[in-house]
Amino acid sequence: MGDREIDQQLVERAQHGDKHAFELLVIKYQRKLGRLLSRFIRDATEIEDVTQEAFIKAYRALPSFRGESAFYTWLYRIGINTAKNYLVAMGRRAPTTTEFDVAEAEMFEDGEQLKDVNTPENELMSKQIAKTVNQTLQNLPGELRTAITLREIEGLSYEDIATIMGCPIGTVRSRIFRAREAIAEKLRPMLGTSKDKRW
Amino acid sequence: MKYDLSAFMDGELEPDAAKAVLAELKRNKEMRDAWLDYHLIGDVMRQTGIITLNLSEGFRDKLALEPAILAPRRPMRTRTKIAALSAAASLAAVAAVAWVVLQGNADKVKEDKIAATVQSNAAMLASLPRYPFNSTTREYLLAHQEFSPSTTMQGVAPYIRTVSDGGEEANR
Amino acid sequence: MKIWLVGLLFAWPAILLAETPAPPSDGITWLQKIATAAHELNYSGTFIYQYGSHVETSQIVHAVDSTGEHEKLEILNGVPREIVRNNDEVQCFLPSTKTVKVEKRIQRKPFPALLPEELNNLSESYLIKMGDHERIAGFDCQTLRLEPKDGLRYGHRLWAESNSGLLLKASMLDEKNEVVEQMEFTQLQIGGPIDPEMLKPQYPVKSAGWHYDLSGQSEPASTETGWAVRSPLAGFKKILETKRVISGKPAPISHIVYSDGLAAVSIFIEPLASGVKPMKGVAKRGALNIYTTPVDENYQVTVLGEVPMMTVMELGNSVYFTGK
Repeated sequence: MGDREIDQQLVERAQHGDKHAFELLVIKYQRKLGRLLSRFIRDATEIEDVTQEAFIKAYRALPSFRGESAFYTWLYRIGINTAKNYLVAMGRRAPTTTEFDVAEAEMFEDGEQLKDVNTPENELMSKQIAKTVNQTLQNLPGELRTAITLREIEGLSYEDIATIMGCPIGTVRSRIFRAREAIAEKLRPMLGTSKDKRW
Repeated sequence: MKYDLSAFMDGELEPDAAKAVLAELKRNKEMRDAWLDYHLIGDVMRQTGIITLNLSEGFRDKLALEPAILAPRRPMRTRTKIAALSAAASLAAVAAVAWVVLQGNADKVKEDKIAATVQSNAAMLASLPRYPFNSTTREYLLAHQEFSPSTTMQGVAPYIRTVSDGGEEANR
Repeated sequence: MKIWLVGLLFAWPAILLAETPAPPSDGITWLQKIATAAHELNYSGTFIYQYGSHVETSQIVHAVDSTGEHEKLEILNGVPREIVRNNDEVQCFLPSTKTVKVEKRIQRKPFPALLPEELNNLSESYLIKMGDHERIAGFDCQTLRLEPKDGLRYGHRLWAESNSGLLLKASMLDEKNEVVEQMEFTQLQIGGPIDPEMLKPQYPVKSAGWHYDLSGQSEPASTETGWAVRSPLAGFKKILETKRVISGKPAPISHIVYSDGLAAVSIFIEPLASGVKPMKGVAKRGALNIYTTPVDENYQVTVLGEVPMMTVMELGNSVYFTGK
């Protein structure tokens, strides 16, 4: 179980005409993809456009995705090609092939701390969001913090987390949920009320 | 429901409940906001993304303009192995079945025979790569339209098949 | 009141009926009426073409005058592609590649209509039934059903305007009676003068930057290609065998057409260019099915037509070289 199963489910639904399912995937991977593309697209205002275009291209290519690789690996390749074509269209130098090695890109992401490419107003928002999340996390009861950290940072399954924390799986599920809700509650005023069109 | 959503996004929800969550995501804005929030939290914790990047508003409109996909042109690989027949062998097998069906009766072919052929064809079809729609295809179509009785019956209307834009590949 | 049409009135070549004859009571005569109407009347309107969830809206204009038959199809969604036909010449305007593909059709008969042998052919493969009246685009229509006698072809449902016989809507149905493709007028004017401007291509003709592809100009005479189909499928008769030039291909390609009177299937056989891998593949778009497969080691067969996939596959797999 895990990421790959979820992605596969959503991709299959999208392939059968369910656009909402694809939108869910977009939300899930948009920041990650945007971060990747920001390696090539320096201008913060362009990143959103190129990322969006990459997702559209992915949607169009979806019928030919067979699940041989993980969805986001496939998505990354499309993203990179989109960025490459964009640079060429803009008359800028496109990075050489070696820079486009996806495996390299993934390593690069996990290893180094890239400076976020942000516009000034986003810079502030970005700091505030990070601060809110981190502070709320620190203030959570220990077992909630541990549960969500093991899930989000270590990527462990509920079963593994249950083993590590010495509790039933149901408890793991509950703790992760409560952690998420606690943080989300603090974020919502910042991100807009539910009346605002966020999605 | 959000409780289920949290498990769902981790891939830890039972299939039946998962279906319900997906349905709820479609119709319930609060659920979608939760999906957005929960994923944002993970991204912030991992410091993996441009935190403020949120495509959702414009993207939905863009996606709405895309033609909906009808079905995968080839099926997803699932955990259970799909027996891979060699293309030639499977085609021969199907051709044999089809042959019997088609040549059997001049006037009538039983419904179930057609169904069986269609099914076995479908299985084999699923394993074939997709022939591209490109400028050569268009040439063939134009040449073909010339002799199609549909042009006789409908004038120029059937030519729309030649210039239709169903996911057209612009250049090679 | 009787209005006599005299052919001298170019602006009104539409059949304003002399006397209104009783509408035909049998399917075959209706089909003949439909075919005639498409080519004898002035009409213009908006029609939609759909398959699955794909919808395209187009404008169609058709006029007949002393110089012959003229018509234009313009797609309104997306980049406006156009087809313009003047008698036997068809021009296909593709702005995305700035290409005009010109095709000179064989003028087989003075006034395109279903030949008697084609109609007979039809009855072999389809059950023709008359249906109820329905309204399409504000016009009362006679419906017809053409039920296929086997799984080699699609079924058809036709809606013909009650007076003129003009086909206003047509659906194609698969073996589950589901619509695979549909064309339908949503707005229409029958008869009346047609502004000649509406028949002209909107793209500047012979301007710089546009590439004229005239490779389809040569009239293909019927020739032996050396290829044949092992056992033709029930109801399908060979109506053409020729070699033709296809843009982008180094040598002329063999083209064989089979038809059951309503549906046509084209078989193209070409030598594989050196270095090109033989390929097996399928494609589908609405009622159109395409199948390609290698044959005889050095050749590639591509079969396409508005028939079910198994028909194109069956034909493709039974192509062989006769050695002539």
